Amino acid sequence: MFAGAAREAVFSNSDVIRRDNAHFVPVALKAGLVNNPPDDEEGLLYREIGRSKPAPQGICAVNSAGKVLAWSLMFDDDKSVLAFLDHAAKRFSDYPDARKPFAAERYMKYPSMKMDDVEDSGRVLPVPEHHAIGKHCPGAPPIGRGTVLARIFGRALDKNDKPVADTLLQENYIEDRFNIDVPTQENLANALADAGKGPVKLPIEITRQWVKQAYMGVLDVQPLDNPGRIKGELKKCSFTAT
Amino acid sequence: MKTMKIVIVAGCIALLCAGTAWAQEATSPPKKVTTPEALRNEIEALKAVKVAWREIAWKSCLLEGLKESRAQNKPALLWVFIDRPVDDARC
Repeated sequence: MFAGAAREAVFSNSDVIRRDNAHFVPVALKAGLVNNPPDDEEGLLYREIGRSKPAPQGICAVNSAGKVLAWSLMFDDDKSVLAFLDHAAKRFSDYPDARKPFAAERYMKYPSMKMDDVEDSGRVLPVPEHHAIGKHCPGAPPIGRGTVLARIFGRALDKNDKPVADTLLQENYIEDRFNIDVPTQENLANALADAGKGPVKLPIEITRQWVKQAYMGVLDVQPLDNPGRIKGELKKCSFTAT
Repeated sequence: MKTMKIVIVAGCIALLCAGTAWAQEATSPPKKVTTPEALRNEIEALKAVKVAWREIAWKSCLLEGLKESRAQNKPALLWVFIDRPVDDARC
């Protein structure tokens, strides 16, 4: 399941939003942490969650010990999302912790396409109360001093050049962010300093970083930075500063 | 078929201060934005007022989520998604 599909098809449904907030602890995890866990106690928890994953991305419910109650990658329809949440809540009432072993249930599509369960490993992992002293949460890695946080907003326009009302689809609306590190800022400052009074064309090494973030649609595509599948071509990229 | 023009605005303080202009091939000529304030207003006009999935109180820390799961006796619902910040509206 693409991340965007979950955003649109699952987490924008008002009933799901209400149910999540009331009956679950919602946690958004980076797939990289589940697929390549850090080498520490927290990493063991990520590894346990990832042990039963049907795909690199998905939605799952876990109990307080970090044991997977159920995974699902897709849902038959809107009602099935709520049914999945009910099902996960029921499993949690049966298995709230690691005292009783239980298998992780997995669905390609809930409820119609069930996959094989993954048996309990039998391991009871320690769940640290907090990160070790001096360690950052891997979900929010540290940002270097002096880094500029840039935010991007993209919105489709209608035929009258007005922003479209529907902002649910990624094709219609995106927000994104990226960091501009200190060396890049210095390069930019040098380019501006060398310009004198006239307009200056900014170096492609700087502006490409900006442009590669600026696309609509499914996040995973990354047209100018795709990891191996599609090689996008930046035909023209010209920024000037005055 | 709905015809759309796509406008993407990169908004950050550095860009605004530098007064950059992005020359791109578009279906119509880009509007001239003459001041940082005008650019900021244009960006603000693009922002969605309410983003539905942000109504969910997402945590980004697994340990914090499990701690709250224990404290509140609730399961944790994990959304495992491609590496973006938790409040990234693209996801």
